[in-house]
Parts: sequence; structure tokens; C-alpha cells
Amino acid sequence: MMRHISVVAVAGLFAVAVARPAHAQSILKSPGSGPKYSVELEPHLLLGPWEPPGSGQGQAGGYGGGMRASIPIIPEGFIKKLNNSVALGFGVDYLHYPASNRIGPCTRWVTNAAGGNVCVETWGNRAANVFYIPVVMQWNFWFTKQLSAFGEPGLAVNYVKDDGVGLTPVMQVGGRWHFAESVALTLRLGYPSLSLGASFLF
Amino acid sequence: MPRLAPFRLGSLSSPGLLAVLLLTLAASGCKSDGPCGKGQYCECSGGDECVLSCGEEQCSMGCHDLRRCGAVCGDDCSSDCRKSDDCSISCGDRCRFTCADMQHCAAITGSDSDVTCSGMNDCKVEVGPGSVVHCTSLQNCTVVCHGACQVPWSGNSHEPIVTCAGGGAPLSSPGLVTCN
Repeated sequence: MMRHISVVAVAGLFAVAVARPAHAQSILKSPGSGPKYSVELEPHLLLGPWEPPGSGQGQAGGYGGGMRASIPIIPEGFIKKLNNSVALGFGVDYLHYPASNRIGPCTRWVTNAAGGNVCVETWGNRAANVFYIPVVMQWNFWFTKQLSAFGEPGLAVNYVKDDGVGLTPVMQVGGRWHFAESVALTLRLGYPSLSLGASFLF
Repeated sequence: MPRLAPFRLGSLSSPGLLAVLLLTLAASGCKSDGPCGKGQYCECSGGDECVLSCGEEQCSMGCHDLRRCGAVCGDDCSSDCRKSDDCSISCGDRCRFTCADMQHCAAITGSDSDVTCSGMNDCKVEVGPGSVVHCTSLQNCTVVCHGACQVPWSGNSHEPIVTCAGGGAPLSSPGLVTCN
């Protein structure tokens, strides 16, 4: 619960921060006037409010960190009349999902050395450590010199210890507050995680 | 072969919801009086199958009047099973497991644990060093000890079958089998 409150608080602070320069001159209808950069590197902290992938390890409420790199591939974007651009984003994220206290059916039985059947795992009763390797299309919209937003659909390869490799859809939206020429505070919301980090444009 | 993980918005979306519904149906009748957390007692009763788990925390659990019940927990937890067909526990060190008036009981425990089986057909347990397994009024009691253990028994159809997994033969005396 506290984590959810924290997410809301962070989102609120970010909204206040980006609201301050909202009166700044719009560049949305000036295609090509966004920041020029070859790569965006974004270290970030993560929250995982959704249940982790895999066969029932962990519970919603994960936390961790990661890094995202985004390389512009269509500088003028998909909409010629707007200041938008498209980048290819990829990175690595790690989230720890704590074990839960659950009641329910058994998900794994083993035969002990004495020949008895013993349940050793129920849904969610073990903590999960998940690595994600996301690959996304980052569609940027540059509103002002201080404010930009993006949508990021894509896929992530996930690795869950003791559970193997899988694929997870990625559907996130985010915003940046460019408080310096090449540095921004970046908030990302969506699935499979929420992030707060700093973007460095090179 | 990678597989597509279900997309769970909130904690539920269509595949997730379906899975939860199926699990709920499978566990129908499985009731607990509250959360199963550190220092708390939680209980499961009625229905087909119910397994209580408390992650890595200490807790105290009980179940009764089920076809199959069990517990999964870490160190210093306890579980009490009564009047069911099957019951099992998987636990860490210093756990206590009581199984009474059942058909079958089974356990995997860590060290210094205390297991009591009474009034049933089969009790099949695997325990860590320093553990004690009480076998009372059983048809069959089978114990595998990893290290030293004690198996006091009484009223059984047969003497407990004890295997000392560390090597060596178990020592039998009236009412007691041990591994050193």
C-alpha cells in the first residue's frame, strides 16, 4: 500500500514540476526543434505494482532499478506537422518481488526421501527476482523546451530465477522534465513497471 | 522456448483472471480466518485442498476437515493437521508439525524440528539433524534422518522404519529408534 502511495506522490511531484514551465513557449508545432541527440541514457529506479511474470512466484509490489538506452531512428517522427520523433529503446531492468502469505492450492509437489508427497510451493509463496530486457519503440512528443512526453510499446524478455525465460508485453507512457539542456527527470508509468530516473542526452 | 507471460493489469486481466478463477475453484471451501504472517495463527478448513504458506516469515498454521491440506513455511513455524486425508509440511529449521487422525502425513523439515504423527495409516517424514519424530498409533512410520535424530514410538503396528541418511545403522531400543 505504501508503495502505491509513493507512486502517486512521485507522480504528483512530477506533475507539479512539469506544470511550472507549462507557460513556456510551445514547440509542438515546430517540427525538428526538439533536442538533438544521438543517444539517451536513462538510469532509473523501478516499482513493480503488477504481479511478476512466471508461475506464481512473488507478489505485486516489486522494486529495483535499471537502465534504458534510446537511439533516435526517425527524427521527424510519424506526424510531419508536429514536433515528434521515434527512437528505439532497449535496456535491462531488475525487480525483486517479495514473497506473499497465501492460502490456496499447491503448485508443486515432491516426493520426500521417505516416500511421502509433500507440497513445497504454493502460489506466490517464494520471492521472485526478475530481469527484464525490454525492446521498445519510443514515440516522443516535444511540447516545450522543458517538457516532453512519450509512449513506449514493445516487448521484454524476462528471466525469473528458478522459472526460466519468457516474454512480457511492454506498454508504458512517460514524461520528461528537461531541467537542464541535456538532462531531464523522467517518469514512466505502465506495464510491467513504473520508473523514475534521469535522462542524459548525448 | 520463450512463452508469452499473461498481461496482468492490476493484478488481474483475462488470462490472469481465468487462472485465479480456476485456482479459486480448485481451492473452494478453503477458508482462513486472516492473513498468515509473522507471529499470527491462520487456519484452513473445509473443502478439497488447501495449503497455507507464509513466505519466509515465522507463522503458526492449522488445518482440518479437508481432503488434502498442508503448509509451506520457513524457520520457526508450526502447523497442526487434523481429521483430513492427507497433510504435509515443508519447512525450515526448528519447525513443529503435528499430524493426527489422518490417512497420510508427510514432511520435509530442517534441523531441530519436532514432528508428531498419531492415529493414521502412514507417516513419511524427512527431517534435518537434531530432530525428533514421534510415531504413535500408526500403521507405518517411515523416517529419513539427515544427521542425528530420535524416533520415539508407541502403539504402532510395526516398529518405525528409520534411515540414517548420513550413513550408519539406526539404533533400536524399546520404544525408541535413533540415528547418531
